[in-house]
Amino acid sequence: MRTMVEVRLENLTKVFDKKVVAVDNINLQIKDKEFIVLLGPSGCGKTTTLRCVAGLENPTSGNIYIGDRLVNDVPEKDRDVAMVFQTYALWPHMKARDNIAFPLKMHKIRKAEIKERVEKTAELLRISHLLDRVPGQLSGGEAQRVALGRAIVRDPKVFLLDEPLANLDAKLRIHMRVELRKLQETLGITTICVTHDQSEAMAMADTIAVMHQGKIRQIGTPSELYDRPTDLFVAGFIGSPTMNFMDCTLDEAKGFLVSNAFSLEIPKQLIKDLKKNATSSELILGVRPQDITVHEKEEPNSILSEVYAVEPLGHETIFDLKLGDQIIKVCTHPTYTINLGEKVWMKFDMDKMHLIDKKTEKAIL
Amino acid sequence: MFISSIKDQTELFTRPLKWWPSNPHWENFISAWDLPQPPLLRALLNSALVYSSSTLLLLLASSFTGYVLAKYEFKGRHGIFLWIVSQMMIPGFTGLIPTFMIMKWLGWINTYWALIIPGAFSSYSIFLMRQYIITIPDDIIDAARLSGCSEFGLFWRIVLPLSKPALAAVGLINFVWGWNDLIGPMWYIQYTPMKTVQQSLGSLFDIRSTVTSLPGVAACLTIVTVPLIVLTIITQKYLIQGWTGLTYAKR
Repeated sequence: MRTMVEVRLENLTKVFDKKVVAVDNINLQIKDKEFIVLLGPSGCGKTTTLRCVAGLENPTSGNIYIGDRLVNDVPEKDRDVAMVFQTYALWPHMKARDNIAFPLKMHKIRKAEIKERVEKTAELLRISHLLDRVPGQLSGGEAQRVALGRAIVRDPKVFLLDEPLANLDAKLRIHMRVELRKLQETLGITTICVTHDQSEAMAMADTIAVMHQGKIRQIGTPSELYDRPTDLFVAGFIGSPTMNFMDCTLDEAKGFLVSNAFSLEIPKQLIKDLKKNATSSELILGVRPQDITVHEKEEPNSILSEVYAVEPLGHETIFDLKLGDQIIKVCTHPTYTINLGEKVWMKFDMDKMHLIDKKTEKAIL
Repeated sequence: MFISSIKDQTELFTRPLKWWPSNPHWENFISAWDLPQPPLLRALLNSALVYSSSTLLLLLASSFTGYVLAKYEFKGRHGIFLWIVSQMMIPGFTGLIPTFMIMKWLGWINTYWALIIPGAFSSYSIFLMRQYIITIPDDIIDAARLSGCSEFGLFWRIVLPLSKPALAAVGLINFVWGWNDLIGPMWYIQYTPMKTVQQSLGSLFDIRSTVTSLPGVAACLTIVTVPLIVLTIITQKYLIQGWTGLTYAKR
């Protein structure tokens, strides 16, 4: 029944007031039925990109295709896209029922069919009992379901979500991200979601596009971004707690990474790769807190440090270890205890280290 | 005013003043209807017709203009807004003669158009509506736009219903202002059966007036005030929202 709906952005650029470049020459191909998340800090241009697809903003240059149709000049109401806003943007003077029915009414669908489709949608979202309330009488989660209902009732080609979970409390947020994902799979609608929360993005997306300063930094599946970030920004943005970064230089002769706080022997093959790809010997070593082990006695190729703080989180304990004038975070098993101020040795997992060229901020593989 | 209206002529001037007459003359309210020229009922109907249509037009015009100024980006938008707001600095009376000349040119003397049409445009009302509508979140309007709503539909189905508090406030001010206006009707309406309440009341104080019952005059004044009080009570719910800061209340 459904036609294939691909969304394609070609060299999309949006400049505000002739000087603020919000979106800078973006290329993005979104496959049919794909759930893509635009991830980035606030002000990175992700919402502007979404609004360009919706037609609420006109791109300064570049093309937007929905399906095979170039939609640059198609007004928003004819693009057949539905959007869920961060604030839900329900119409406060209408009952939930009328809010959901509104898009159908605007498309001149028969009354009986409207009624049927509204009820079916409400059932799917389990909000049948809320239909006769006005938005003021709905909780945040309920209002969001109504907003989702209003978006999917029309069976749109593309589904746009702008920070859909940002206004929910923490518990509901974790629940809803699974539900959003399920809903999207059930309906099979091509979906673009915008968020600044990397864990949310990892949990929901087929594909994540990390954006920073108007540019796409990396596109990939959640595990690709986690395991093989291509630059310093992505490496630091994905993962929680964030990756530890240490400035160091490569000592080719000895085969060591050295800084004033540590020296670390690295595999021969890695040195070769570094020599070939790095622009200089100035490097940034990145290691995730999960890829460091803590030892009470010295081990081969380990680094001495001091326990600075302990964060017991229940399911794991995070140790803040002092290395020179830097703090290195390490995740450990919750039963593991060490006292503050004690000396410990850190060992990095050599296979999961990330080496980044300090000058270009690109990862070296 | 009300207490004076149920006293008799002598009791009205008794010293010390009595708060409540020993013998209330309710019949003053019956005779009052026929005291002025035109009779009060006629004048009330005339005024109701003139000022309710003028207020309705005003609400439409000012909310539409306010909406466009608040929510659409176009060249000269700030200039137009400034120009409209600057009109508020010009005292109304300076426009009296030019307006009269325009009305005469249009042939609207002795017609209600001369009262309705100029009364339907007010820079102050546009200003208030614009200030209110600007506080309605853009998302709410964009959501309707994406739902397939036409541009006029956005105004009619979303913005207008959400502006009820401001509409109530602006409507009431202008209705009361019109209702109490004597200058306008005096300039334009000379044909007695068409005269408005203020002209009708004015006839009581005319040097040619033969009315001698002062409590009767007070009864007339009381009757004319009642519609305004009723209107205020009806719109009260919105007025409070509308006046406290004139901002759209969230959800």
